[in-house]
Amino acid sequence: MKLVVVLLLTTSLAAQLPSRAAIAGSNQDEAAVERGSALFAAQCATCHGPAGRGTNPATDLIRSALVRREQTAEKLATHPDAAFTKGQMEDLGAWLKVLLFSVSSKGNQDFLNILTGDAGKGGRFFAANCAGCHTLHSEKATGDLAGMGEKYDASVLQSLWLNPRRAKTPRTVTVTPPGITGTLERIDEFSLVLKDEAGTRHTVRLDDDTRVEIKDPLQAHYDFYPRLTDADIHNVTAFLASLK
Amino acid sequence: MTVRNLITALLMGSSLLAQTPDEAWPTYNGDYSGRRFSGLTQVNTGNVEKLALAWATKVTSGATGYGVRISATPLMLEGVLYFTSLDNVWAVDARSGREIWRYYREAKGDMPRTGNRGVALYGKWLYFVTLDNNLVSLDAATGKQRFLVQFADPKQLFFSTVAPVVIRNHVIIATGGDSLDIPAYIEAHDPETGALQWKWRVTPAKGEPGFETWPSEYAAASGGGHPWISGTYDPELNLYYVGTGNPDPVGAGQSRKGDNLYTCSIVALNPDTGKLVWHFQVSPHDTHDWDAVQTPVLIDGVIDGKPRKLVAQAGRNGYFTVLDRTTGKNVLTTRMLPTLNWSKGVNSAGQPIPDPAKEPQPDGTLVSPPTSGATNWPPPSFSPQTGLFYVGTNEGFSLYYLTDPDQQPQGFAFREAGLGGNKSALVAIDYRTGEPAWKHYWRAPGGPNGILTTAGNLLFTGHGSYLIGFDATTGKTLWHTTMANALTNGPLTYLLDGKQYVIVGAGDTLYAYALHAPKPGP
Ligand code: HEC
Ligand code: HEC
Repeated sequence: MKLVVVLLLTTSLAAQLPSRAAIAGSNQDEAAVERGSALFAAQCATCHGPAGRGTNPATDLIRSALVRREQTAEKLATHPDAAFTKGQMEDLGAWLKVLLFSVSSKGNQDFLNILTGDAGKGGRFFAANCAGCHTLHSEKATGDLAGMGEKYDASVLQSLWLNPRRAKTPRTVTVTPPGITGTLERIDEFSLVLKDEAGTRHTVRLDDDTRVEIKDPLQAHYDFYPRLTDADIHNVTAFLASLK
Repeated sequence: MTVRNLITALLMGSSLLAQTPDEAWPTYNGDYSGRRFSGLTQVNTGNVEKLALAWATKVTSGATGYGVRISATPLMLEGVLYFTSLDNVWAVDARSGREIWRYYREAKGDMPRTGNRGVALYGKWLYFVTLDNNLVSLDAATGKQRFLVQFADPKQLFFSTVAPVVIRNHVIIATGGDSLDIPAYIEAHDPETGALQWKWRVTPAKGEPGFETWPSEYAAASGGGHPWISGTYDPELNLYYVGTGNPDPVGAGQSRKGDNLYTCSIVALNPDTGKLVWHFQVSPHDTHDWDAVQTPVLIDGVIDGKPRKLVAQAGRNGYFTVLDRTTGKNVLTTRMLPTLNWSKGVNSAGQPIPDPAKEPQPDGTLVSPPTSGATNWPPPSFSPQTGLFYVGTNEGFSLYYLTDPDQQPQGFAFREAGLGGNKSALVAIDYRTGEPAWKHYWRAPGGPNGILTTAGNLLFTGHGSYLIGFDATTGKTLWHTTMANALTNGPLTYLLDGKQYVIVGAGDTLYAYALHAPKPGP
């Protein structure tokens, strides 16, 4: 959709304007949204701001009870030089709904600049803390992170290295009694299922006294959290993003 | 005296904290104290292994578009259970689970289709709120609607889920709403007519005390703070205690510099006038979506050898707070999570000091707990027998991203990226120290879930699709059973025909448990 791009003037403006996800999630007719946003930019934005937030509380259309009650048309009749067709009013209405949805729906806002860290410092952090498990030269080797910066957007990358989606090796478990070890397939409060070396599945009942020791290949990642500063995080992300 | 009159007397009397109504469960929390502690002992640590399913009832909604999730705590009076889910109210036989009537009315509007916490009783009438913000009164015997009054505009995306609380002739309700910068309030309505008696606004108007904690009228008037969980009541002090929600815009603080009273606070209101008597803000200037609506539980305790009237809250922000409930003065504040990292400590008044570096940032900041919180709305419990406050907690981290750096941000204004390795626990906190007496880490993360304690020294709660009975003193697991779904409400218990029932809601089904061969009552 091109309509948003036209309005992307500065970062702070970009932050106010609806993301693609918000436009899609708002369930409004796409063509109406496109026409409505253009009309809004041309006819309303000078006084109501590019994203309808206004230039003062009186001109804020996002917090306007009147807009939420869909009484925009009645109001517009009192605006000078405002003669709109019914179709144009509907287009404006669709755009106002998108603007409202974009601020009120969880997870539909665009990320801002995430690559603020120092890649050099991130590289040193990596050498000291990560290189024991990860290499950087061949994408084919297990645990190799070469090319990370090409594969992922920064917001995904930052989550991914803190919380890898999956491990190539499974979780293992030792449960006592009865004292068996194997691959953990399922665990809840009172039972677990494991597969031993011979490939046999065991369901074990658990009570307060059962000792369950799980080895999770991702535990090393979780254990970083309490020790990381935000600067470490941004530095490592910048470093990984530089791996092209 | 009928049971109904007895309950009415109990609810109005002053000895409520010393007495739980064993043969009924007449309010959201069982009584006004919020302790969710029952004096019943028929089921106890010695025989809980004989607890077995007495009946189960699957209910269906009048609507076809969505399923039922019972997040209401049912009320029980004279052999009938009353409960809700979105758009529905049911009366079922407390002995058999058989449906007596169902009331259905579809809420209109664009709000999220969320839960409903249940009904309140007054005489022969029931009260509940609809998602589209009506206070409705029904005839408890028939389910016939007596009145419906709207108290907030659904078009502005207010949505309501709270279980009303009846204090004398006041039906107390509150607004809900998530992120659209709408003002929050608590109201009392006349039980006979539904007419408004008073309204208390969570964010103050210009000139009112607390207004100085906002930069402008505009910020305060769009500051949110919805108190969407029922409060508690001390009849002797005639104070209604309630926790308020987080400020709006949710994750961006730049347009609302200051503490943002009375959001994220425990407030004490006079239920006759709606006047604020005292307040204690548990999260000054919240930017993490951690509302402070968790039940303020009333404890008649002893601290340093002196009897004290206390109120305690296990907060979504990760702190456990105990206050003097006469004055609102802090007694103690402790961290519930070892991982908590968003504050610089606690100030001399007992409030956490938010670390500005841990407010959502454009490039992300690592914060514990996640937005869902150290705990959430599922009801905690306090047992006066053990002196322990029980609550479900989550230890985890999320990345918090500011997405709206505008001078006038709006709505959510932030994003969360959840991370891994979460640990969940059932924690028993000594109210005198704020430190855990025991902590049961679940083998798999989940919850928090609603909790009930009893004079049989039992604690009931759920995890996964299990319902579990613990020894309340030691935290030892004594009994469990499997349900078709995970627990979705706060468990309750009552004595009927000499038999003690434990009732839980899990998804669309209400389950009742009783002893296989009950011994004669105590
Ligand atoms: C020349 C400046 C100007 C332009 C252009 C303008 N408006 Fe307005 N508008 C205002 C002012 C000033 C107010 C507040 C005072 C009032 O209510 O009249 C307002 C109020 C409104 C309100 C009522 C808000 C409320 O809650 O009371 C709506 C709706 C509205 N405008 C919609 C629009 C739309 C849609 C457009 C474009 C088609 C538009 N306006 C163009 C100046 C303008
Ligand atoms: C104890 C070993 C260990 C350490 C130390 C470790 N990791 Fe990992 N990491 C893993 C495992 C295991 C996986 C899962 C993928 C796999 O099995 O190869 C993983 C996955 C990842 C992934 C996701 C790869 C993908 O393609 O999905 C990234 C990125 C990553 N780690 C970065 C780091 C960084 C950065 C550090 C240091 C801060 C670090 N790791 C430290 C073991 C480790």
